[in-house]
Amino acid sequence: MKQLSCDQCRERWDELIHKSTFEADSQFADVRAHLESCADCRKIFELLAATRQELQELPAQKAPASLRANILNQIEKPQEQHIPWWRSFLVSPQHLAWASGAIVAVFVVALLMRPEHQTPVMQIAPKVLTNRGQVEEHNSAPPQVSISPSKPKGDLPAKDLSAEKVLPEKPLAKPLEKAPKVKLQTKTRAKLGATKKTKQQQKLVTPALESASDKKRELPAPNPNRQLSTMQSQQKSEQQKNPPQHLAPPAPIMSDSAANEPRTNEKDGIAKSYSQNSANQQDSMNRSAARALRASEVPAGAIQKFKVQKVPVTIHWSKTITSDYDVANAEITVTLQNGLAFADDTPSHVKRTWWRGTLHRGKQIPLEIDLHRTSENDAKLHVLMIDSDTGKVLLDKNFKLP
Amino acid sequence: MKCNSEEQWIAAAKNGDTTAFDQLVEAHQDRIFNLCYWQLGNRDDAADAAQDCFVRAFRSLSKFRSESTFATWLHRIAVNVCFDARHKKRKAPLAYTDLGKEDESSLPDPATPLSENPEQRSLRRERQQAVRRALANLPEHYRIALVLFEIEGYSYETISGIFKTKTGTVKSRINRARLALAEALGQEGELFKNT
Repeated sequence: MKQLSCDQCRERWDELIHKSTFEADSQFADVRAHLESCADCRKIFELLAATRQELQELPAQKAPASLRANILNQIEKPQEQHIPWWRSFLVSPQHLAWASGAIVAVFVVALLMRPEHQTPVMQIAPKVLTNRGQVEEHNSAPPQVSISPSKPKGDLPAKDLSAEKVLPEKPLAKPLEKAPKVKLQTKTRAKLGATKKTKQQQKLVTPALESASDKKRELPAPNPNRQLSTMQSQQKSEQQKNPPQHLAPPAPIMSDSAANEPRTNEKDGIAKSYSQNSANQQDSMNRSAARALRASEVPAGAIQKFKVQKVPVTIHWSKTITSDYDVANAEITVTLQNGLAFADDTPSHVKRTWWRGTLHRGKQIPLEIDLHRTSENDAKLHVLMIDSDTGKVLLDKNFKLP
Repeated sequence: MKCNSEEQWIAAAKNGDTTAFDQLVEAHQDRIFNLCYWQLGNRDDAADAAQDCFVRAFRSLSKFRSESTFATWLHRIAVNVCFDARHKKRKAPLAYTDLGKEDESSLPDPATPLSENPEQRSLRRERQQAVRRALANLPEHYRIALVLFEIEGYSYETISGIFKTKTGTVKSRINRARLALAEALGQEGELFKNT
């Protein structure tokens, strides 16, 4: 008889264990012989046999009496139709209400998250326009009537101003920049009694302004010659006292005939003058215009309104930053605080990455930024220079503007 | 025999005859409930699973092609239902609340020989509880295969049909389950010494 190893024995005893007549079964004589000789295998085999017996003696679980009735109840019920989630919006008015509410909420949040609602400049600019509108509405003085700009007279391209009128909520930098020019010019022109408008001007004037201008036309027109001479003399005297280095000639003060002529450098000159204007220059111009208005018998209310009008000032800020580091990829971010905005059109009016590049020791990076000052508070500008690769801060400095 | 009757019940149930299906329920409910009980570990969950199993079976009777026996098909559904139930309860700690306990079904059978004295009866109940505890600690696949084979009395082939696996795999599972169970019961010591 073949001698079995323990493994061979254990492979076969699975069959053996189910045989009821173990002793009598001659097929497993070799297995039985191994079990008699091997105590370990015999012990396990006996335990397995006992376990099997215990398992078979385990009472089977009886199903609860209610199971059958529950099953019958459930299968006799009509099967619920499964409605896809997207169809439930069409079926259920409650779902529909929730869905529409959610859409409205998302829309409102999206409106509030627009960049215009986040920058102070965007809030101030419409206010200026509104103030201007109120001035014109409450005052019957002629100067505010001709606020509608025209290219030759206002030194502003007509398309820009049309954009300003069509989209009053998008004031950005341009309306702020051009507001003082328009103001001065229109008041001056009003003083001159200029009531004639081109077709383009009439198109650009909003209905509200039109109605205001209609009212104002009824007022007695001031003497244009007298005002022109007064304004010109005032401007000349101002220029003689404080001759600006890069200041262009006072373009707003000009005759109608001169305004109708093409002026090639006029726009550049004005832009330059405003980019270089300081608050003092702006004040002096305001004073001269106010004096002119005072002399021309304009109602007192108009002058007061003119005086309280906020005028944004353009500042040219320059600073040279010298690097103390050797960095492969660095960037400089400029953040504006307290009533400052970038003068040019930019998606963000308060923060901008101004420079990117490689730094080495002693490298000088000039920062020249045109800014709008939109309030009289102390203006601050924050410059942050970081290593783009590691995020290390190389320069973190606040600059206070005069 | 029943086979003919069962085929007729199945045919009638396929046509929506709930009375015929009720006969099928009556014939298989205990086995299905027992399987669910050993899979889920307590009677309440087992009752829910058994009910779900029969309802699913009724609604998908048209898919039953008689390629296997109705019992095998029903057991396969029960195994799947229990897997689903376990999956839903995955976050909750799995506790075999009843498997290790004595319940009414483990009380002395009225058919127990009168020759058994109270001490022997008590010992037998303790052994049964020990077997339940050991079974509860087995991996699920091992436990179900062993229950189907040893308690339900199904053949290897039927169990392989239920699990949709090879017969050799079922044999292997049962063998390993039995060894693990024997090892666990061996630690109980004196309880199984004289059996």
